[in-house]
Amino acid sequence: MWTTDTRQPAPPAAVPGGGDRGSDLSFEAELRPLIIPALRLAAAMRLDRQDAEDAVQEAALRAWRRQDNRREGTDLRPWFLAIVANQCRETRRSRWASVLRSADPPHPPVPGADPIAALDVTAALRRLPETIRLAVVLRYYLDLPFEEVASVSGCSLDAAKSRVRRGVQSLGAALRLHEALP
Amino acid sequence: MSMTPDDIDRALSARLATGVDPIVPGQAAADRIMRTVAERAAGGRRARGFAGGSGAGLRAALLAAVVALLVGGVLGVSVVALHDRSTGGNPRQGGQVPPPVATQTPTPTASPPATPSPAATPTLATAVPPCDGATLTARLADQRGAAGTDGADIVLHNAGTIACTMEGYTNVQALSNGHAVQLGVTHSIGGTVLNNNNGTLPVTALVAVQPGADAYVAFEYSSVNSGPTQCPSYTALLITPPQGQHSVTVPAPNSLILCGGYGASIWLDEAPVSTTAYFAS
Repeated sequence: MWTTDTRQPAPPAAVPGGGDRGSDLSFEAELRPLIIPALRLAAAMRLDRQDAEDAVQEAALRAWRRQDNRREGTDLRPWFLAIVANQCRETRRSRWASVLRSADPPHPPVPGADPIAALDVTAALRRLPETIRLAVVLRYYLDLPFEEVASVSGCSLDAAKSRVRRGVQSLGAALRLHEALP
Repeated sequence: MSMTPDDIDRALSARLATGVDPIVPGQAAADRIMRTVAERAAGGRRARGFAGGSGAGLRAALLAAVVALLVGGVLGVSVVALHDRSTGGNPRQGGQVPPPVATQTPTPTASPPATPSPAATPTLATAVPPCDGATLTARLADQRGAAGTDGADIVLHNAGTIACTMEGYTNVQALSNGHAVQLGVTHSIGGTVLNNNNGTLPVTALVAVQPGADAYVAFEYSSVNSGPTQCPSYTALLITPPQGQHSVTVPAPNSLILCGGYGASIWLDEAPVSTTAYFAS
């Protein structure tokens, strides 16, 4: 701190026409740490880096527009991740976008990554029904508790556990997890 | 050998990380997204409360461009492309001027495309590599405070051997007890010092920094504890250039005490990379 002035900063002025600066700034601050988890979720659901960024950007804007709809006291994370999950379902890349993507430079290889193992995983994920994939990704990739898996998925706790169980069975067989263990 | 459910869980988590981690967009993508949200929020507020502000911003941008071009050669720093980023343009568009925001629109409308436009002409953004924290050094300068709001410039010095570029806002983390903490930085018109309450965002420009030359970012924050808990104290800031991968440490010898304001747990407003210092008198 470089000043001894103890006066309070001016409170945000209400903006004519709705929405105040204070709530916007607070929302941005709350949203920021959720962007990386959202990108992880979107990457696992879309299995494409550019699609994932597009989906999260659209979801973030959608969340900002709808922030007044969020019930007071509701945790932002499941609310926002649910929007991301919906956006991933809705994202359908246009023909023009696919043309643009073909002109993009290839992604640099990740040091230490095993491309064959990565392909196995993405292929196995692709084969899962979307609801099952979402539940598995939330539980095992984002490490969320079952309650939050249910909240993001928009289903009951029992249904979330059932989806995760089915996903584990499918992926376990596809990826031969039993053989991989020592 | 029999396996426990925990074994299966761990193996599945590890395999998912193996397959998905390589395609997860990085911090630069997160910064682009937050920038878009912040700009949309600011644009929406300006559209509602500051009709005509984008015109004033454009005039300020043009004036700043002329000044920067005149002095840039002397300083070894140049502004190459200039546009008002408050309209929600995507930084990957490499200096293309986005369409002006409709100031009469009461709420934000369609989101900007997150994919780059098919510009074939090489620009400085593609010809010169982006600056990275690994080749920069940084220090605080021009510290000042007023009415419970403090601010400072951060001087980003190109310690590398080649020129590099920066455009837009840096990512800001703070160091507390050896741990990096992500700060919820805003890029708003609410900064009383940076933006002088005139309702316009600082202009964003593509800045080329020659070896040995400096560029600047600035920030301001609340230093007044307005809540029941003590404001956290930080020993350094970690600044990641807009298109960089690594951060550069900005030591804060007297510690930074960052407090809340405007409803946020910590309020810290940032200005984009510039050729000139913001707070130098």
